[in-house]
Amino acid sequence: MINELTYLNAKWFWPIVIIALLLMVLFIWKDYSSTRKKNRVLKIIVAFLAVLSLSLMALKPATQVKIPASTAIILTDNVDAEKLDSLRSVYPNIKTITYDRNTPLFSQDDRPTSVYILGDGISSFDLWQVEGLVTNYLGEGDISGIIALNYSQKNIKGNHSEISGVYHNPPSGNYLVLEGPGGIGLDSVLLDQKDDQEFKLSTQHKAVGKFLYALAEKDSLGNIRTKDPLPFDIKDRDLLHILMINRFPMFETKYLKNYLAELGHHLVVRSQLTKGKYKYEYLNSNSSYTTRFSQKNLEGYDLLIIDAASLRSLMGDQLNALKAAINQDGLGVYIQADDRFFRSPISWSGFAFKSETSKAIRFTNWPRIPILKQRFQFKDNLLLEPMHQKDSTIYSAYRLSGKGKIGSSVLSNTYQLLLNGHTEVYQRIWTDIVSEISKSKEQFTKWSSENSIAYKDEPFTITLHTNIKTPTLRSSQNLQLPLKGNIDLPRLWNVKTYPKYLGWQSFVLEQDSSEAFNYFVTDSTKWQAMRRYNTILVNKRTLNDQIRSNDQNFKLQPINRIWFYSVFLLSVAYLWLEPKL
Amino acid sequence: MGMGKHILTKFMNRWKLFLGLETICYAFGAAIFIYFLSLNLMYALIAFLGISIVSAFLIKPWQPNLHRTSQYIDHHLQSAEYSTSLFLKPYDRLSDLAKLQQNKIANNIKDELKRIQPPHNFYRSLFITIGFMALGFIAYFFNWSQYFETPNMTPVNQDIVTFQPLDSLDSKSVSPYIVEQSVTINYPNYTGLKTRHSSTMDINAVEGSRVSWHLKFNSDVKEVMMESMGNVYPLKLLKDGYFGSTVLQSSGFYNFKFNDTLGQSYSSIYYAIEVVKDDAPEVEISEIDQFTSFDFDETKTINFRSEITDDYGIDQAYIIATVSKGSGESVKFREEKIDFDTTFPKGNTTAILMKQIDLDHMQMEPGDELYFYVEATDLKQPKPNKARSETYFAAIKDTISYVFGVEGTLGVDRMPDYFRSQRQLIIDTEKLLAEKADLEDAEFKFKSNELGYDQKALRLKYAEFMGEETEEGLVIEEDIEALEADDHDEENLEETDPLAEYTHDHDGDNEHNLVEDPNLTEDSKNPLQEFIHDHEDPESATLFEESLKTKLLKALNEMWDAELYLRLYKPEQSLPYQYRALKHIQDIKNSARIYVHRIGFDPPPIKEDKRLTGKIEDVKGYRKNADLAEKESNLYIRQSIARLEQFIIEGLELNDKDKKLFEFAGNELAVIAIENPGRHLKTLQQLKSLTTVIEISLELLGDVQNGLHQALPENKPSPHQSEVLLDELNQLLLKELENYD
Repeated sequence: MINELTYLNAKWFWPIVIIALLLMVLFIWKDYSSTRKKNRVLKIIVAFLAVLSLSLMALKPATQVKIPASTAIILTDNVDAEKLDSLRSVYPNIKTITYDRNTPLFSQDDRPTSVYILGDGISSFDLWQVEGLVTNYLGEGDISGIIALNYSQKNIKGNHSEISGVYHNPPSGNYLVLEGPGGIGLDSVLLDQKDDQEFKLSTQHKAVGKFLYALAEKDSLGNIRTKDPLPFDIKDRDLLHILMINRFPMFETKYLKNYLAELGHHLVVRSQLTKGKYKYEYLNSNSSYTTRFSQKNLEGYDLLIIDAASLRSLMGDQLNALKAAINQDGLGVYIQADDRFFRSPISWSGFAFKSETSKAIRFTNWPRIPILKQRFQFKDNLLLEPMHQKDSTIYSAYRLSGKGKIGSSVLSNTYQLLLNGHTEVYQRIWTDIVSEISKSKEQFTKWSSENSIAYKDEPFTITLHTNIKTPTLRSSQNLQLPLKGNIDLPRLWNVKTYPKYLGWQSFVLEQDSSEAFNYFVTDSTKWQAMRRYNTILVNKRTLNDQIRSNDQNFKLQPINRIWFYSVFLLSVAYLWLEPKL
Repeated sequence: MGMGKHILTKFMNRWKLFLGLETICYAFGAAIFIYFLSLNLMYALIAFLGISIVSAFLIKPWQPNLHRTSQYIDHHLQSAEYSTSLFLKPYDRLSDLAKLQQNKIANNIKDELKRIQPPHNFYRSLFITIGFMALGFIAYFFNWSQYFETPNMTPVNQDIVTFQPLDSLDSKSVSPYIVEQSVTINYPNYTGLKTRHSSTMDINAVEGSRVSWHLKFNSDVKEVMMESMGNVYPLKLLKDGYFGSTVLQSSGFYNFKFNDTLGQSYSSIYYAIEVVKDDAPEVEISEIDQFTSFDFDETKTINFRSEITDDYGIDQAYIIATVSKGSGESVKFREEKIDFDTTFPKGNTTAILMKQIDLDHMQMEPGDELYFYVEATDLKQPKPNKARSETYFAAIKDTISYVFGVEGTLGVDRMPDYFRSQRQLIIDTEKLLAEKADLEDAEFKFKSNELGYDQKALRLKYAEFMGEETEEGLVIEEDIEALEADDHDEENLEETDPLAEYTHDHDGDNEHNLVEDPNLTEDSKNPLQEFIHDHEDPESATLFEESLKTKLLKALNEMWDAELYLRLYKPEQSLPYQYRALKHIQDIKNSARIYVHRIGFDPPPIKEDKRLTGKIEDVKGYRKNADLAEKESNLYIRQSIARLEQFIIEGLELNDKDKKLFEFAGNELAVIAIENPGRHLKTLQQLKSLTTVIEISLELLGDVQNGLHQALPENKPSPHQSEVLLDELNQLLLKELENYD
């Protein structure tokens, strides 16, 4: 009896005691009613022993016994046979357990004390099963495939998407092809480096909807080796409301307004003809939009393009209204700078310039066409966000001001690019500027997830930022999903789900059904290289870090009943034989 | 007595019978075999007869006669004792012994004859016959005969229009098919091309041709239509089939569709129509310079040749000539239409025409100019194509003022004034050289020297800009020029005289400063700095940038050499130098020019008189509404791509709305495909089959999506709105940043 004694059937303790007492009483009474007096005490003692052993048999006392140390090998996918054989030669009769996702490895009684893990390792969501054991991860894995992938699943029609990643151990001569809808090849890269090859593929989205692109690896003959899905959720672009205020008509404004109007954006242009007389143009918008500067009027616009002279002439109420619209409503302002603006910028715009000598600039990775500019560049500032820059020289930038942005540029006479036929460059410049500066659309909810692809029967976690106090989430099967809130941040929630169905699924907030989160579920045969790599990484990180613990495991083992039985038998035998002798 | 013979005869008959049966057996077996192979009774009969004849000749069943019979019996029957021949002899002639023998033998063989058989192979033939019959049966069973059949090669007509049923249910009846089809193309009359008949449905014809289709089916059908670019044209049923015709105007695609009597719809594949436009004729003039000029006393005739080509025939060709008299505001124009000297038959595809124009006959005087061009029309109906050549000029030099002809494509003398000085020198030098033969020696030398002096004056003038010292005070021409300079000079009227001289420049027509100073900053408040000519300080006296300075130096050097040769009375040697100097000067002028694009800028309507007066009451602001948004191109194609993706992933069923969508997408694709039919025709057909066929495979959906995606052009970059989540933390952060700012 090393440690304390516990009774396995302890809940029957009192009934057993009562019965034992009753039995004792019965015996004693029987004994006293008999006439023989010889050995009475001895008989009582022996009877007591018998009853005791009987009750102990019923109570089943047990002690804690040390479990002998046992080792096992867990075999996961892609086991290296050599390692297995060498382990088996060291431990001849070692037990092997094969690991299957989402199934228990061992039962409670059967746990080994230390395990060796071979192969790719245990998936991250099953690692809890080997907690508390001494683990040794011996897999290394010979992976050839894409091990890292980075792309943004959501995008807007007409925009470019970039898919970048790392390919580990590329087989020389193979191609990685980005396939679009219908299997059309959009971009490709040749795998010709030795160890890790970084690749970048890009494409432009031409249609709105949910598409399943694919990243296929083809050998030099065109046969497909692997093909993994790349889901994309493409939305249509929103049209902006833009107000343009000019002191005098400018070519730059003329071409810019034509370009924006042709794309469908709603423009209101006011240019001054002479003192007090203005020319108003409403392009794709109705005349109800006024151009008077008041915060309420400016609320309807996403972007204000104004030349520096007009901006300087704003006074008092108008200026305050503009500032309020920027700071509180998020209006974006683009200042068409003139020479005076570069030399002495308007103070509240927050810009500062320094002069330089070059008259034109060519951007890297752009078509080799010189873009005219003024002989100034932006002075860098903590709050300055560059839009166009080359090396460390900033040519177009904006500054955050409250919720809104104020931007400007030293590029000048960009309309000449159009006249010279370089339409693409012109469109690119202005797309960048207008997209960055214009008012951002406020969202109530923001979804994000670690991986854009979910796998069937494996957990998929999503993070939700929302301003709704108590959000309720529904899946595409209209089941309600539990949300786990974050203690520190009241607006942050977590959802974990195990997708059961393949294909496009979605989450919708009951309170705000406008924005749904779409994700794509595929099965575990896809993206094998990446999954293997991640599993190996996780196993390496966590499993070998465990300190060799001295905690021995104990288990309860009941004392063998034969002892009690033999005592009982002997005592009963004596009691029976005693009168005969 | 006759008994023996009788026995023999019986035996012989038996023998013959066996042989006959054998023959027939062979024939029979062969006949059965042939019948089993060919299943044709005729062949079997023929085989029977043939084989029987052949075997009869081989076996010869008629052969056995009594003699042979008896011989045979003698050989084979012991008890005959070789005496059967006795039966053949007449009884009377026999000896007694013979008679005895005869009787004896007759009695012997009567019974024993049954023991022998006549020689025959009947059983063998029977066996062979049965074998052949079995073989024939097996051949029939296993259809070996078809290996021996020559395949009936029906020529597959690729051009035959084949139809696919629109729903793929197994039709119980055989669907109707086309037995006769033809396309007739009637080219327009003026092309002179013969009518073409063809059975291929792809059409390539001139615009304006009339195309007729003729389709004949094997059985009755309810209605036949032609579908093209979204329109449906029914074909008319006439006696001989279905007819339809149209006049071709533009390229496109079409296909046929018909409904049979059971209500089943069938549709064919797409066929292409390519319309070739009738091009305008090409007119060229040769054997004449673009600009010719004549002196008054010359014979003023111009001869030229014009070559006109057209694809289908030229209708007319003539010359349009315009004579201009006078100059300035009193210029008068007179236009005439002149025919060629040579004619050509109307409708020729090429014509080479000559013309000689005598300027005197056109009533032209010195100073007049003639512009002419050749115009040609082709035979196209209803509206012929017209083409014209370049304009050529002929001028009679004016005797009053020396107008030198300018080589070039312009008829108007656009030589700016500022080129005159060096240019004038060149002209004068050339004139001098031309007149050398007429002048006296002394005069020639005098003129050459004068030119040399002019060159020196020019050189010095330029050198002053360089900051080089003047050799002597330069007076003379400069004074006159200075007076003229005041008119030209805008800003520097108040400047001192030295400045006036230097700012007016015959060789340069720019503003007051020739080249803008790149180092000009706002600090240089002294506008005179650019113009003050500081001889003391050579460094600051540079108005030019470095490269221009070297150019001018070069020009000056050339001028030195030119002057040298002129003074040496060798003007022909000085000419090259003068040309080079001119070139350098021109370079300098051009580099300082500023080019401004001509842009169609329409300013707001402002009243001119009010504008100049400064009164603004009548100037009204105005409003303009415009809807410039471009419609999204290829909208239906984009929607189809998205919808197809849904089908592929979710596997839905096509409904009518989708079919309509694909139809519209098909129309859009057809417009794109016209430019590039080879690339998109397959997708077009597949898209059509999506709307018509019921059973659709995933592969087809993927192919169509692929093709549609390829057909779409790249999108223009377009600004979009970004999305931001503004929650409390972000707002706090922004507030903090503002405070920092």
